Amino acid sequence: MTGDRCANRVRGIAWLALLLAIGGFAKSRGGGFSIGPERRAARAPYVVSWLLLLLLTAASLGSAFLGLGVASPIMHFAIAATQAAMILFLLMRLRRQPKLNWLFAAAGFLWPFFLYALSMTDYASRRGWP
Amino acid sequence: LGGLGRLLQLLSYFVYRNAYPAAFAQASRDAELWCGTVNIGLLLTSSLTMVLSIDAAANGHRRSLVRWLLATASLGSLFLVVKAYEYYADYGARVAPALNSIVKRGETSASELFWTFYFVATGLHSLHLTIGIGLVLLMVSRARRGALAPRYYPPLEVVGLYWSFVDIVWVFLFPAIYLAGRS
Repeated sequence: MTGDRCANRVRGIAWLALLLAIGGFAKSRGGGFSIGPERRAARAPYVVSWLLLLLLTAASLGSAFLGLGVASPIMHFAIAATQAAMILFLLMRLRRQPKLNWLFAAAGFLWPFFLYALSMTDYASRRGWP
Repeated sequence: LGGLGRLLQLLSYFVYRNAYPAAFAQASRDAELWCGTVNIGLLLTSSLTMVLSIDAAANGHRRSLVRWLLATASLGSLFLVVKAYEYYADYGARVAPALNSIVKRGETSASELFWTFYFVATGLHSLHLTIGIGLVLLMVSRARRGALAPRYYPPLEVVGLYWSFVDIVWVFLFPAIYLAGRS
């Protein structure tokens, strides 16, 4: 009996230590789970991201004329996805948001993924495409 | 929900592009490349001015907040002007399905699928952008009244998220419409 109580206590302390470690890690990453006043950022990172976005657009445009064949659309949409991620993290400032906001932003992509995946099962399994 | 719809629309684009690659490549070559390129530049710049306006609100710089917001609305409006010119050119080039359209030499009627996607996608995008410009102008009036201060500016944050989301949609529409079949 005493042994069980002792084990429970040890387990409780271990859980507490784990939670504190997770909280400490989240806090050290600058987010945590609290929603508080945002840290004020310098403007330079925004301007740099904008320049990079324009540069990526130029790269996408340039690659369209290189005759890359099948690699061409893959490259275009990979660049577009990179640009979207940059806009999300840098210009929509997801980078500096609490991790809870990251979770909600990711959830926004989860449902379209289901939509895509379920629609594509029909397309992939259908024979006699017109 | 709007976002889901836009993504589903893009899915249909991929399905049909995969089914009719030659027709899509040919039709895409007829799209006004310079209009699309100028417009992506305008929108990316407008996302920068939008985030700078939020930065100004967070730091309590009311005058630069109004200035950045007006710059954002102007860039959005300029996008619509270029788009309107592009529609005019498209109509002249006889690629507007159901209005003024012919199947050109070497093309099949599948190219109409591309142009239908084009008009629905860019039309919806222009509608979203017009709503965005209205919201930004609403924020200008709030900022002038002093209703957006460092202690409270979430409405501006939300408008900023909406604006950049509309920008992201164009980032995907640009290669889908203008870059397919260029080489």
